[in-house]
Amino acid sequence: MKRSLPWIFTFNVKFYPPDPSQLTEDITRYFLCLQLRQDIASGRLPCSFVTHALLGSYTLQAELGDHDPEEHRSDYISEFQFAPNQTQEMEEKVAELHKTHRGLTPAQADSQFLENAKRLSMYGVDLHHAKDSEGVDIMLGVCANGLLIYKDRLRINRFAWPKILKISYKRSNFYIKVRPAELEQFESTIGFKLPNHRAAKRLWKVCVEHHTFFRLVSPEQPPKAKFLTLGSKFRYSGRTQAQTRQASNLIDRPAPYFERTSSKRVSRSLDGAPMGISDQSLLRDFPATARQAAGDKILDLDAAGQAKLKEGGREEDGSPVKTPQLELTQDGKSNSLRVDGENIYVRHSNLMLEDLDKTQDDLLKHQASISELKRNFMESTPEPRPNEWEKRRITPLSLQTQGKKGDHIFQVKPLPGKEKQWTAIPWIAGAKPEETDQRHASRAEVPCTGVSDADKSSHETLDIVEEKKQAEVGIEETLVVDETNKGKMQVATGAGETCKVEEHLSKKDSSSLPSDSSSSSSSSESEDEEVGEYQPHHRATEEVIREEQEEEEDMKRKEHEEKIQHVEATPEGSKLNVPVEHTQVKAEDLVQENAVTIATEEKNLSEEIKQDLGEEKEEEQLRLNGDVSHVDIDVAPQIICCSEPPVVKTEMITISDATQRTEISTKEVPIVQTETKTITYESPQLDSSAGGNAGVLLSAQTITSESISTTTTTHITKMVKGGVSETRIEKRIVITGDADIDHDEALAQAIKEAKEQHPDIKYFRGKNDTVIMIMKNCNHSKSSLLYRMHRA
Amino acid sequence: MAGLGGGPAAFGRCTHAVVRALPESLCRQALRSAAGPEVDFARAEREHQLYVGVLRGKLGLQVLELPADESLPDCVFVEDAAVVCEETALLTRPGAPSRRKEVEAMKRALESLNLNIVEMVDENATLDGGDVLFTGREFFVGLSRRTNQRGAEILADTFKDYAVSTVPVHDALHLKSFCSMAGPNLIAIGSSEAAQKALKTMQQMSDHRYDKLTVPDDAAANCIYLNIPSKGHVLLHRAPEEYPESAKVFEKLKDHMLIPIANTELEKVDGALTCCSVLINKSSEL
Repeated sequence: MKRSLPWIFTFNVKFYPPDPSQLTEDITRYFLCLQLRQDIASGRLPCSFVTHALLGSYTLQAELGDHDPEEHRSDYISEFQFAPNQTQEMEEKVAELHKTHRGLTPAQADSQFLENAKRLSMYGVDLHHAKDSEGVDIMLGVCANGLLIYKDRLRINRFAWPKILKISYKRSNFYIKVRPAELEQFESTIGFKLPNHRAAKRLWKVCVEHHTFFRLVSPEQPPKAKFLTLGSKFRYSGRTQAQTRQASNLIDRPAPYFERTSSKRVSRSLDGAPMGISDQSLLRDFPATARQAAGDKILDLDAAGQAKLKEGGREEDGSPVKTPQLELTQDGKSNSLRVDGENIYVRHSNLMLEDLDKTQDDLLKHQASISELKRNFMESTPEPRPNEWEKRRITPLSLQTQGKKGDHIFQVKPLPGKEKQWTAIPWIAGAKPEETDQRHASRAEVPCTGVSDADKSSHETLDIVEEKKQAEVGIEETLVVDETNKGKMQVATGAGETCKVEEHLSKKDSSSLPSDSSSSSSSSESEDEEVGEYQPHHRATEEVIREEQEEEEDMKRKEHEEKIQHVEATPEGSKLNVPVEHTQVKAEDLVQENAVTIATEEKNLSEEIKQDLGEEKEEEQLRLNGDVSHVDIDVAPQIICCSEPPVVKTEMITISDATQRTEISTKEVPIVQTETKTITYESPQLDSSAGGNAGVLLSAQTITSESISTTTTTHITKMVKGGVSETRIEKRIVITGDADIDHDEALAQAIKEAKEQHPDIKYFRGKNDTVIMIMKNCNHSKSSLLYRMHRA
Repeated sequence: MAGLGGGPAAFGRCTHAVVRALPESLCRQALRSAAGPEVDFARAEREHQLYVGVLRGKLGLQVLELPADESLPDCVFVEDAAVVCEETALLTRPGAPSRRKEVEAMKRALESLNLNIVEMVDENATLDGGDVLFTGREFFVGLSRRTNQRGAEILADTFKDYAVSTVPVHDALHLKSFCSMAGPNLIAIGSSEAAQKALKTMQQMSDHRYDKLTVPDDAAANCIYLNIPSKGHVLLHRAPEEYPESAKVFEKLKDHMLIPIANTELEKVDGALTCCSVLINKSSEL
């Protein structure tokens, strides 16, 4: 029963358009209707008896047409589900109302449906469980206009976006900082306690997304870390509502043909049919050939993507996911994944193990091929993309399917007693397909790789990884791609106008997944970030905000950007030794006031190139050691405050599988070896043992970028020393804008912050204003972090 | 067939009204927040008849007039016994124990109109209809001496289509002691501190921006807005003889058909215009 179950695709709407009548195309409205019907039938969108009946009657009119006394006899209605608790009385009322809609076309019926549904108070409200500062259970609802606070269905407070200055989370706490009320002088910060830190982060992300989508004209670029700071870099990267509307104005195509399929009660069937799925045509497009079981998945689609999906959607080899058109998101509510043209995340649950219809040999082989793929990649944080949504849409299909750089696959491996975790398996064009499992390698399909129990010992780890793109790919190439794409923009804009429709892949037997698995990780970053913050820019489309505030906020943003990368080392036990040290910067190199040099691992490459100041931290065997650092601890509300001097915070980094791409051999390497590979980053002046061993220089690269107040120079060298490859990134950031920085104070602050973060940290002051910090919190490796501040 | 009351455009539509005659016991036994002059029963009756006459005769509503019950001195204030929105009626559990039995007659009346009846059975819940302000888009429920959180929750459960926000009410009997709807998007609000504070709360809680009509007198801010097909916007407000300054404010509403109504006697026992009727819109006489 659990075997050979089909992937089930359903749509999920992410942003509910406040006024569906503004949508350009009927097909978009239809998709929205499908989502709402499901929301209503599942109880997610509460409505009264009368409204249930009315909306149900429009559904009937849209799907069945005019009421026909001959055809539509007594119980034709029972096959539909209109409400969570559907009664005979309700069905009678539905039938009665259905008769009154005579003459309405399906499109008109859909429009009527939406006109009524949009007025429901919970329409478009994304609810999250939380507790207030006194421990009282409340619900936080994120919607187009802001944040709503509910207690037992009563609205007890509301914070409109313009009122919110900052949203942040730290561990399982979620904070909003609100503008002072009329007569008050001070901003206040309100804290909420979420069930766990993932929930807090999820809420934070949903807020970021909603704020961006509904209030901004265009999405912000992910923040650039200006200094050593912590925090999520997550930003919404799709289109905003304003952009969506603009794009939909350009739609110039005949209304796409589509078929309304019956939304009869599939959800009630017991034979593995989808839960509450409304559009069975999707099932046809995704035949039951997919073997991989997994949890829920979400695909982001827009109308165009959807259309494509339907047209070209059949795959002979049964690969269940079409890479280019779909965006699997793993987004808050539904424990899902995001796949777009460039990122493919496939979650594997424990169920996978049973779903693999393979022999042990096959499994091993399969595993080997995974490791083959894995070796190609390392962790990195996502590179800021101009606009993923745009890009996906305008990139020609062929390009997308090529597994071009940037494609990567997340694979989740079973963790005993834990939630599913993610592992990125980057897909590289040109990787030897024959060596990989045919199922996931022979095309640029999403490799839905299964992991077997047999390999657990070496794979029960989490690699939150983004593709380790080679540094060489760099910026130029990206730009080229972008330019090429520009020419195709017109073509692309024909598509989806509205809300982002996410497709939701659910697996029938996913019930064994942890119920709170909605806390899945994000496509572009680690889920384990413990803090993050976001200061809404009030460049509202409608509202003018005093310039002063705007500026003030901008200043704060600049000074204070946070990010955290939490990645994990997965090595098998005892052998891992990952000293991370930092290269010395010679004093004479420092022409400018303030410089930081850090050697980082390659995992940070892509982000570094984007001139983010990568900070490092390390942490080993997080998982193996019991996930200590992820335990949610009640901490006193602590708001990360901004507009302080540059802040140094330590951060966990993970080193895993840091093998150089260039080293990949065609031979199969035992997985264990891959996993425990130790990379050493050495600073000649600090580590004399490394000094003697001259390595072979593989490549060297210098990238310089400038912004208004900073100049970032990144020097990357790759060496092979005694068979071990080393990538060293030296990064120097020079802040020129603010001459008033008191370096001593900044340094003291940095140390203080670091100590707060990691009480274990040892530090001492070296020469030349150097501070060396050593963290000894790991069992198997010594790690040190060194922060250095130089005076001009 | 209009869903959700046909939306804000249909706000104020009304076909039926439920009222109740005054018992003589009202004069001495009706609850009152402040001691004061005694109610002149004859005058109170005249004013009430005028009120019912306007609803029935001038506006053409079908008025169900319940008989007075001497054992229920406050029974004339029918508004507190039920909240009706579209086809659903919530029978309340009034905050004052002496008034709980008023609901029984109201229940029979509403049943006769074929409304979906929801009863508030939870013994921890109290709700007076006077604390419920329906704007056409959402509910505001005053948390007052008469209405508690649990009562508001049950209201929210009953009218699931709408947001229900709570508004703390101090220094007044009910939320509607100092405000009411004076138009589809217009909140009439008194000038007292309590009124202004409540308004601020409501503005913060709502996604919607309402216009406000501020009148000098809190009591005058309680008016009755109706949307009558043949007459358009109709507003029943307190007479100029009672509140001249507030009446001037209402007179600025050019689009409204204004009907001044005196309410001098019932006001002595905290009665306002909305208190004396439950308005119902039966859109479908199927």
